[in-house]
Amino acid sequence: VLSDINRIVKETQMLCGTLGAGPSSRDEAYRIWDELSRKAATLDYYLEEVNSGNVPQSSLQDLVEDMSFHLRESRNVLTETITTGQYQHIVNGCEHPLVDNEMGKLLVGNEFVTVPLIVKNEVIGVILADNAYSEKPITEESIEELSMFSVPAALAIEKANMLQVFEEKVKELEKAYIALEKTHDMLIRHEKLAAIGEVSAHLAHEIRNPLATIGGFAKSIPRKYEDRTRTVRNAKIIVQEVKRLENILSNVLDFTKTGIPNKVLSDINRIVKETLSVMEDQAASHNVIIVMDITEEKLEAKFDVPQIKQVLINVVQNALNAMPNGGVLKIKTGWCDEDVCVTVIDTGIGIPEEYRENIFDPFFTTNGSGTGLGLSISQRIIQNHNGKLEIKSKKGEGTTVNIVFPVS
Amino acid sequence: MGEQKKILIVDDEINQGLLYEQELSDEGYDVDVVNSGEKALNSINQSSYDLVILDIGMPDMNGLETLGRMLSVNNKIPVILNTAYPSYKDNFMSWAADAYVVKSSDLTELKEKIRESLEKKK
Repeated sequence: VLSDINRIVKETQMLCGTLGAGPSSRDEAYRIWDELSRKAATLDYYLEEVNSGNVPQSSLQDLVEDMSFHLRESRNVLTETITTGQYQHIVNGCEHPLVDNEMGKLLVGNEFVTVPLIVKNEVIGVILADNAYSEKPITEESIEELSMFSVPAALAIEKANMLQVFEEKVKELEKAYIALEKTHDMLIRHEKLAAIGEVSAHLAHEIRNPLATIGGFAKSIPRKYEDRTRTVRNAKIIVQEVKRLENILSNVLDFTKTGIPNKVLSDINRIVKETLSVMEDQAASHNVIIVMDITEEKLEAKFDVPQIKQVLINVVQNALNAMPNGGVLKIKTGWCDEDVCVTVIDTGIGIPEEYRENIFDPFFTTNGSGTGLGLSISQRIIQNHNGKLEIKSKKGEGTTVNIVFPVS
Repeated sequence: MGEQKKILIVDDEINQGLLYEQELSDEGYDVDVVNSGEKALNSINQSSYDLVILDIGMPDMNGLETLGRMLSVNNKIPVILNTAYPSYKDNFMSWAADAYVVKSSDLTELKEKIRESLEKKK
């Protein structure tokens, strides 16, 4: 209630009655004085009483709350106090030209004083006080006391007002933040959709080619089925392309599976050797020399054997793809602190700086064919093993892939 | 009807190349297949072709780049883009080709465009 004064005065140019404190009648006044003289009560006690609602609202409050004056259109002692910023001591209230009927409702006797509430050189309200029932004349001393009281009162009102403004600003910020979060989520969703759009375009291409081949050859077979060599060749090609489609499908499905690892204690060195023997022929056809830097003793850890094999095959495959005209492929195993470490180094074409961020993106590929899912699946597998898959590369010099995961 | 028309097929997918070679030979054309843009440019320099069928999605030099290089050497030769990607139609480089066909198992459209381009050339 008090905090409204400031803003209302500034924003609406209206001076609104906000607080009326005092006895409603002479009888009540006597009763209060009686109580005060008997009880040695403190200010704290009375504040407690007010806060717990034990003090009934004064009828003066109702009167005051109904009152308002337009600072430009009305002219009375209250508005004068606001506009001049000076206190007004009136002794002949009944006859005073600046005491209108409206204001008059507040007065019991003839004498009253108004004191401005000032904060930082700005008038934010006015206090009107009188000695309605004691009928004591208002002294210079009491006007001074009232003025002194007005200072902390004005500050308290200003503070309360600031607090309210602050709370409103916080609410606004909270709303803005929620709206921002929603926009952020929406942007991420759109980005994902756009990514899916891109991805499906690439995937469509990956599927369309084999389909065109399969369909084309299948259609041609009935036309010249008597040519055995040709028919057999075409049928074999169809089988090849179907296998390719199945591969694409299982890659895509692998990618969407959560693939919770089935961890079993195994020897990493053995797995590496097995992987290399599978890739041997392909390496030879690429003119790639394989160098193994593998520890003699077992390198045992708990991991999902088929999954880690898949990762190794993928990484070695990428290395071979990067060396179409030959090179050296080095595989190193060992301990990195307490973790198992497998490093694959190639002397291939390397990864250009501009693709560095994209290499783990699903469906990202620079070699034309292949689904481009390999690295993203591999990374996910290693992450599911609480490990890290890191890649260092320089265009033209080669790539190093570091796979690290804990023993259990 | 005249001599046999010579067609050069450029596609990095071996099996696709085999398919077109088979089908177009059956149609009576003399067909050569290469699997890269680089090799295609070499072939153009070495022999004279009546038509080139160009795939777009190839590693190293893609079809549109190959097209550009080809036209700078010989801009009289008709080129048909034959690709699994429909989206390159928006790329103005593709408009330099005589036709744009999206790969499908049904080769009717491709064969039609080949006939049209060869007619025009006459």
